Amino acid sequence: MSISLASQSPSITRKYATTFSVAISDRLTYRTDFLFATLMRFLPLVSIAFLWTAIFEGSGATRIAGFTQGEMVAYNLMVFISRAFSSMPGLAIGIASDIRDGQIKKYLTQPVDMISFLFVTRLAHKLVYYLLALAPFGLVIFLCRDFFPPSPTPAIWFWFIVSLAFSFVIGFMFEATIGLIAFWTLEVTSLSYLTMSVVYVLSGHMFPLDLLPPAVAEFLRWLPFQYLAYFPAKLFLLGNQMSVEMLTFEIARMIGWTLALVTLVRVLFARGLRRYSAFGG
Amino acid sequence: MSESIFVPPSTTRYLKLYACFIRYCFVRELGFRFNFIARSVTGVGWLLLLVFYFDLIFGKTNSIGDWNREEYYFLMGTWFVLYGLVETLFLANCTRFSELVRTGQLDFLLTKPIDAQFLASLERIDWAELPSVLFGLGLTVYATYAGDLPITPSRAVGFLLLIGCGVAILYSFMISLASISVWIVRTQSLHELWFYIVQFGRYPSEIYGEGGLGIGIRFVMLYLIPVMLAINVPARFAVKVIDPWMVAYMVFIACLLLFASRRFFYFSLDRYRSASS
Repeated sequence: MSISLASQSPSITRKYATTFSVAISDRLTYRTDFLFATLMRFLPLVSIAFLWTAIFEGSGATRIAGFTQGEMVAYNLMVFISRAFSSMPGLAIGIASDIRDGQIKKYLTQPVDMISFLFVTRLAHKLVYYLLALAPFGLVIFLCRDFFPPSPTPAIWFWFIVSLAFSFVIGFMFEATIGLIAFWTLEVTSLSYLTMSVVYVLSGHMFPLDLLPPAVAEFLRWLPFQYLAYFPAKLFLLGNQMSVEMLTFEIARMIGWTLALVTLVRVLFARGLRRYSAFGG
Repeated sequence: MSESIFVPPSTTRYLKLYACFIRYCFVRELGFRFNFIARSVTGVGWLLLLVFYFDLIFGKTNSIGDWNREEYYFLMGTWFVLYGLVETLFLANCTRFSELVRTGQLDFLLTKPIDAQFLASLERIDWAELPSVLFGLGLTVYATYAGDLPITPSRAVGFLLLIGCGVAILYSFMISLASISVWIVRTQSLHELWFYIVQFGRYPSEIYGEGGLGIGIRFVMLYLIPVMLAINVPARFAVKVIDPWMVAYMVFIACLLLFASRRFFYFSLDRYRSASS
């Protein structure tokens, strides 16, 4: 059914371009106390800056886990930026509830691909978010400028921006995976709460992975989560200490994980749909 | 008007009623057992993570401010107990109050023959947060033994009483925030802001240092919005040198805030205009 409709529909680009612009205007409706709400989320950073000052004073060291005092505070700020790209609030639960209460039908009977539709919608939401968040983020970075090491080289800047783009894709695919599990089990809400705290630690959002014992940190670098927060932040702050081979390897691993997760989502979605049509009413 | 409305308030009546709330909420939770367990486990899981984080930090340093590892754990335990109690007893009620104002359902609460503040602040008990309180208590006990902290029975009693004062301080602010919803209908961001402000208080007050910003934060959080007072003073009382003036001040401020927030609550009720039907 959906195949025959798709053949009559306008071009794929136009279809998703419309989706994109609708999502943008949807997002701009709720901009009122956005500035206030965004600035508020940076408040814990003030305590974190003081906390790490006290920790460095207590230890007498100039570097902890490879970070200077300033870099440690800057790291805590940089993960806000990576998470602004990689976090997908409500995506997993949204997909799960669409599957559970049958809303998924609205995608199946229309000539759109559900995952692409959600992806484009998210992209639009994120772009509007960055546009609006530029002011508060800029203000906070300006206030924290003394914590940052000198600006990285153009090459590092380039790979930093690329890694943020990939963190968006990896974040989306991971959350979509969790949501699609709803085809098999109904208890996705508690699962997604659980993954939230797991991701918080494993992505390096809570603290830089280097703080962990080296073997554990190395293991975590093999998982996709580090690209959600840790990798872009570390690259930006300490990228000039990274060898070209190391950087190439990390980028390759990141692309590898992205492809793997995209494939996983595709397979889960295809299999889930088969299962859904078998049981759904 | 039926006679029952004019029954004089008696303590036993209120206690009996509160026992009913406790039972009712517990039964409610048991209706969704899996959800209850999942929430309890996630709640304690977050706290475990925090302890783990500071365990890593104390692998790199011996002290934060003038707090060593075990003393710091004691402070964290104090924070978990305090905030856990507030979440168990009051948080759901205070957020619900804003909702009652918005929908006009507050009318039904006001017409009941019982103290409005009692009903508005205590009707819901969030049992899933209780494990966090127990975890916090366990952490303070562990820290006491592991660090050989100088806690005597009298200090322990004082500590618990001061925790009570701390809960009173946090509660007073929360019920006042909820009261504001009579004027501002959407107070979601206000509640969120409050959450972030409380976060300032969970660290030792010493870390804020002697710089201008640090002194400013400490002054505000100790005297104007005394969340730092609420968390730091009980822990200091238990494990550090006792500062009698700070303790006296905390008891005083807790009583003052309870009184002031009650006045403010009733002041806001006077301005409540219900929702048009």
